[in-house]
Amino acid sequence: MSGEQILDALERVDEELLYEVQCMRQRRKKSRWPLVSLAACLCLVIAGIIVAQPWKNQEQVNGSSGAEKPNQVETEIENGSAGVYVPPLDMDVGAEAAVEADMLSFFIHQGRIYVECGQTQNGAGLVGEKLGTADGSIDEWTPESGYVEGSGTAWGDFYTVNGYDPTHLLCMTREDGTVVLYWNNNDITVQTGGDVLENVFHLSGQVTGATMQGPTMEEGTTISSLNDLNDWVEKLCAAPAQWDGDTAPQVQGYLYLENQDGVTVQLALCEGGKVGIDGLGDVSFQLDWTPIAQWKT
Amino acid sequence: MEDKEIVELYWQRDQEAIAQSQRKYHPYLTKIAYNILNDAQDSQEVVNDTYFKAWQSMPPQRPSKLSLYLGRLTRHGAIDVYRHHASQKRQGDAYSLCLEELEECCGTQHEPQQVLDGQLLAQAISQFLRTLKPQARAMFLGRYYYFDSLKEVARYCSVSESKAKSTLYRVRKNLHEYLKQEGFDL
Repeated sequence: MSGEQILDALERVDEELLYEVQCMRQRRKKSRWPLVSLAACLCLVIAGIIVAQPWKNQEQVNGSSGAEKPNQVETEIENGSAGVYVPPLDMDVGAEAAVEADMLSFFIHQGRIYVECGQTQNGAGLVGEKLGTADGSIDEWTPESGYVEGSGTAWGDFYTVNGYDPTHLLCMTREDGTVVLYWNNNDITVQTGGDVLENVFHLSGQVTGATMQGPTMEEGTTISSLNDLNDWVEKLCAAPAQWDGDTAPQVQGYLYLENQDGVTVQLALCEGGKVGIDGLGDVSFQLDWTPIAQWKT
Repeated sequence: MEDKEIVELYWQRDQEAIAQSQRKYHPYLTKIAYNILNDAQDSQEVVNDTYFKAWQSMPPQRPSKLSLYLGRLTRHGAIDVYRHHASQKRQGDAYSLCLEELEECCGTQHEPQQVLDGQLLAQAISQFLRTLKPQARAMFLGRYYYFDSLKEVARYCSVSESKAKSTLYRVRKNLHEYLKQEGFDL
């Protein structure tokens, strides 16, 4: 028998054993995180993002350690307006969620964590000035000291996105021309939908294409009445952010909004007339979305 | 997106399945490939090939844990690439080191396939691993399935490197005895 035969046989070892190990590899990382500082705390936010809802992320107001208030969400008054504040979550999460946390694509630039939020095939015009290179050095074993400028799970050159604020949005490119967008979604206060849809993604009144998947609509159903849809998006921009907490509403459909630049944002259409934004965690906006189904082709 | 939804996309022949797989598992798969190949470009090619294999294999496959399924495809692909490059005599990489360690306990002779059935061997190893404490099992699979370095294994098992090394040595010895008892020719 050879060592290679052992290595080959391990490929067929019981899946549950492999899963046990996979989880252990992740859990060990979790136990280090509560000790931390800024960089690791931001990682907690990222882990929390995944834990909360795969289709949406969390928000955090400050960049300092928030570990003293795990799993607690507050409304913060900032400049006289209420906003949703989600501090770093504690890591009392399921193993599978922790595994997923490691699989998020992100990098650190100027102290901000930019998380992958979408891709566009025809986005060559979006790629602006090169700002730096992410080294892809972060994995589940990376110590606190490894969360430095230019590190991340993603690797490659990153650029500004033409016409967009680099403190919100950056991008990378792939060999096949795909432009991958990265959103600094962990250092913002969300007061209204416009904080994201307008300030980050420039969608307010600018939706040029949309598809929907809903309870009675197959994925990819085109929404043709864009005037009505843009009016609806305007209302969503004005809707105040609210935190769903531990009772996240059930998702009943998705709406994909695209602007003229090819930037697409995914909205989750939830029970109770709530709307979530992909990348925004347990934050939702109260707005009846059922009329959209009438605007399909 | 949940694994189940991604698998469903594969079954629906929706190319979004690959995009979602990339989004969720790309760093994880790259780590597996890089552990074996120690080359970023080769690793990237292997991971890209993983998505293609996943596309080809689902359907009929419907894995319950997509991470393990894609990880297994990646590991297999990376080992294949490694062996194709074997003539380059790479030394000191994780694969070579793991191979050397295992050959301490099982030898270096290749048996004919009909004599040494891979499936039987895999079952025997699974049975053996179930006799171990979870920590030792994690060390063994972390080292020889994921090709993690000793340092990494020690870190996530919360032991010193020397402890990890000695534990792995004992596990390999015990595996050797177990396989002999099970009738494998070592």
